[in-house]
Amino acid sequence: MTLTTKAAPYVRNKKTTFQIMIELTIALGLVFIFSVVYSFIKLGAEYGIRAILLMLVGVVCSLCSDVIYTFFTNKKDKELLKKMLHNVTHNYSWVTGMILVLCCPVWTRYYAIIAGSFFATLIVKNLFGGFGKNIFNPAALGRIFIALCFDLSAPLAVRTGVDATTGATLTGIINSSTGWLLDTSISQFSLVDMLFGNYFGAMGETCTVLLLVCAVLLIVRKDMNWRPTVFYIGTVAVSSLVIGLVLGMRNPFVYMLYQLLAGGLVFGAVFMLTDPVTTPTSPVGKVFVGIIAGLLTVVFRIATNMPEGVVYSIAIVNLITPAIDHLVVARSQEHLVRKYCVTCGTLVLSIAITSVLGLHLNGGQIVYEVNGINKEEYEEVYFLLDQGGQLSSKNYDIKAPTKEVSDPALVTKAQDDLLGNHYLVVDENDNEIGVTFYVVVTQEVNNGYATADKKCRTLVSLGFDGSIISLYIVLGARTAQSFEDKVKDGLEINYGVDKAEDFANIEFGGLVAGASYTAQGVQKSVAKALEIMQANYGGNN
Amino acid sequence: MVLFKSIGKRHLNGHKDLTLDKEVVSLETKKVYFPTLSPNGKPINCLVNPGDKVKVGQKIMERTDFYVPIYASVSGTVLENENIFHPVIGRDIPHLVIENDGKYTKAKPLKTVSLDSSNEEIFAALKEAGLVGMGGAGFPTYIKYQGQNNIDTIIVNAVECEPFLTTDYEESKVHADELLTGLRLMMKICNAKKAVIAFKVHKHKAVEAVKAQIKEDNIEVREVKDLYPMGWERTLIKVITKKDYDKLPSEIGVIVNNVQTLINIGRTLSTGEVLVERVVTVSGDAINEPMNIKVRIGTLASGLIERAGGLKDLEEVALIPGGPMCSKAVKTDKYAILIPSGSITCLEYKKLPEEPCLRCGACTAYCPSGLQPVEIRAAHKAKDTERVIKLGVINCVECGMCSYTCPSKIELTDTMRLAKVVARAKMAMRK
Repeated sequence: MTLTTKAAPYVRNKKTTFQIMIELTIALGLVFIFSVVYSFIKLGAEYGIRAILLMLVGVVCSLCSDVIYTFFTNKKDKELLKKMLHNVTHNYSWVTGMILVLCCPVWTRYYAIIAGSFFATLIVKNLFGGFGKNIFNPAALGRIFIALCFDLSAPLAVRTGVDATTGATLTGIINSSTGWLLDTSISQFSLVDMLFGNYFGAMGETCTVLLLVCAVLLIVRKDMNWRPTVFYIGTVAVSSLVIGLVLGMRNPFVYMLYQLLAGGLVFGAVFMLTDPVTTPTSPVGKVFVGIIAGLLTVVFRIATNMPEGVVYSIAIVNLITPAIDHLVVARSQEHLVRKYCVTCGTLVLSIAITSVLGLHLNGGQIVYEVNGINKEEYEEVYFLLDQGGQLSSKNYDIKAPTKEVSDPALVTKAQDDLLGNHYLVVDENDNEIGVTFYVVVTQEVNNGYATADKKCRTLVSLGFDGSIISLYIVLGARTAQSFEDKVKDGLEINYGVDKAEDFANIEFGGLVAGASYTAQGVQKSVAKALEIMQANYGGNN
Repeated sequence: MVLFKSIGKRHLNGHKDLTLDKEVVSLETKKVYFPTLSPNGKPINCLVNPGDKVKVGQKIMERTDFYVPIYASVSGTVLENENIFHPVIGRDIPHLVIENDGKYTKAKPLKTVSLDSSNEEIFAALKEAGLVGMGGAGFPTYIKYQGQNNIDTIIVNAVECEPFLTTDYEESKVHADELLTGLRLMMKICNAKKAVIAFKVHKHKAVEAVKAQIKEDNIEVREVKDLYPMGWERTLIKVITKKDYDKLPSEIGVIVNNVQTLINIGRTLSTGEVLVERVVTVSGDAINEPMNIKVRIGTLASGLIERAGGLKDLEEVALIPGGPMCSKAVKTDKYAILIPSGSITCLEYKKLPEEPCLRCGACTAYCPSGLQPVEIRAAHKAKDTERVIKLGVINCVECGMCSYTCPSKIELTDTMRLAKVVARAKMAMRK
């Protein structure tokens, strides 16, 4: 028996890092099981099995990168195998792999997952020294890598129901249609569906309730800190509420809920922003990154043409983490007033920035023309409407008006115009459920050398309750050629909706180009259509 | 829920049941040892020579840094000095040795005082009693009261937040009357408006015994939560008075005394008999029969361990002269039990595998001093002493909380200790 001279204390907490990581794995596993079951039910066995295989591929690749890294750094080590085993079990790369796979939709290509998880674990994690040393959240950077390099659009088989769009996720649809600034654009998705995950998106991000349950469990088990999550979600909530209020939305609270529930916001807040390795260690730093990430997410959503801001904001926050850690030197009970001032100041500033940005992006020099169309445009639209089937479906049909428009100014311009009177949308039982507007928005378009006024033309079908029944881009703002030229050139123009598909979707046909300008144009069109709707059919709203 | 401040305390498994409410055993010893150096390294004057006969309670030594008389705990013959280990100083130093004749012949008792005596008389008696803090630090008690006549609260610390220790509980259960005598005297000399006796929850027997003795309205018994480090002066004051202070508790009108110190103040001042024996907890998972043992001051720890059935036959054992959180293990059991030594904890030592720091910030969240051990460690590793100083490492009290909390099992407290030494040296150079 020897008497030790090792340092105090001689009693230790039972909780180990390994245990924390296992508990995190269990939480991720719960989210994954939900997504597998959902894929099985909604998309069938093919996609259910695909979800499982994707996870396997992701985890195996990240573990492989540990093996590769250990092999190349310890080639001459006699205990190479032992070291390898230790690294595989204690580098916690499987967690990275799991988070990365859960960030991607179920239809992601296998090679994209392989490339993404090698990038995440080998380059972002191991090259920086492995667990505890990486400066970026490996899963976040892996996800950005996949988004930049690979096509995440859903295959046709998946484009049913509300997802008959090309965007990877719901957020893609929202962003490309209205740029996150209209409450009506997303209101076709039920809040309950979004809360319980009844829609397609990245595998792990859909079921918000489950994610929140995981968060509570992890916080209670002291596996993660509550500060970044709570302040991140809080900042996004307050910012979007204020945006909703300053833009005069009909229901800012609902808009706020959509902002919170759509996309990987809660997933990012629970599993990525709380990654201890890449966020500050001090309580005040954790609060601060939560607020900054919230601000960045809202800015990315409303002001850029990226569909999502969550992973980008997390990556940027990782970048400023060392600076925050360097600045916080005071003891935790010191400078409390300063700490409160800085956090409250940042919070107010982020709300201000996001709301001013929201106002600016929603305004601008946009000229609206509704139904006052010239001969040329009339023919285009007539051509479109003539293809009756293409604007109708088994559920809805557009037919000639039965109701007089109260405002004569709107119909005077083209008495014999097909569109002079608003077209009514009727459902299969011939109930009038909405109106279709032809809206032309003139925008200032900059192609990099010069600016020019371009027109974005859309057919917006609105329900009497103000919801969007369909949104049809006749011509994007940035299309160089005119519609007729394209037709003459014999180009195949995908402007129709598949008859078999549900019409109640935001659907992109026509010549969509210059995505962000078009998106803005569409956003304005919907706003204008709503305005007219309210003026003429008001009271039903 | 705290937003920016650290939580600062957490529950530990106290293992108090090992020795709680067990009979206190007495132990005779052949020789007693008294160090010739104070814990801070200053020499202690010997007033007796080898060959002299001494009686129990006879003044044999006197500290040179503060006036603290040291009294013989047994009667017998003074022998030649012997070099034995001193756990606080950390090396072998000469000790005065007295051979016990087993008769315990008592010397003339000190002058007694009562509540009717003047403040000066009581203070002089307190100074002459030679008492030092019995909670572990060993700070001379009378200095706390020197020049203090406008104190608001005296807090009696009977919390014993370190695992395994039960002597405060045992002693306050038995000597509640002496505790109150001492407390009344101390309240008188510093004009204290009230006193709070702080116990940890579920110490019913001790609380009842003390409550039975309280007749005044301004003395109350308060039960505090079972958290570590509740017995640390700063945490206890914060919990009881909700106040922070800069350097000394007297700034905010508070004096904290260990419960056993007050019991002995009461006994010595009212009977004139000086402190010659104390109860020591011998506990832990590496000792055969954990128990509380009453010994003469100066008894060797080896005797206590033997009395408690000896150490279990384990590969590596930490022999700790104190609680397992703060005290550093010693490599020999041949050291003297002195007035502040309340326990010997023997634990099986298992080296836990260390993992890389995951920067979770748990150490920051739980530091009672509000420091950021994770940042201090990083700065210390990078040899950035300026930043170590900036991060306030000087305020570290080495309570062991950061190492206890760390999920990666990093020896943080040890790093803090080293960083503190380096920072102190750098600060001294700057001056």
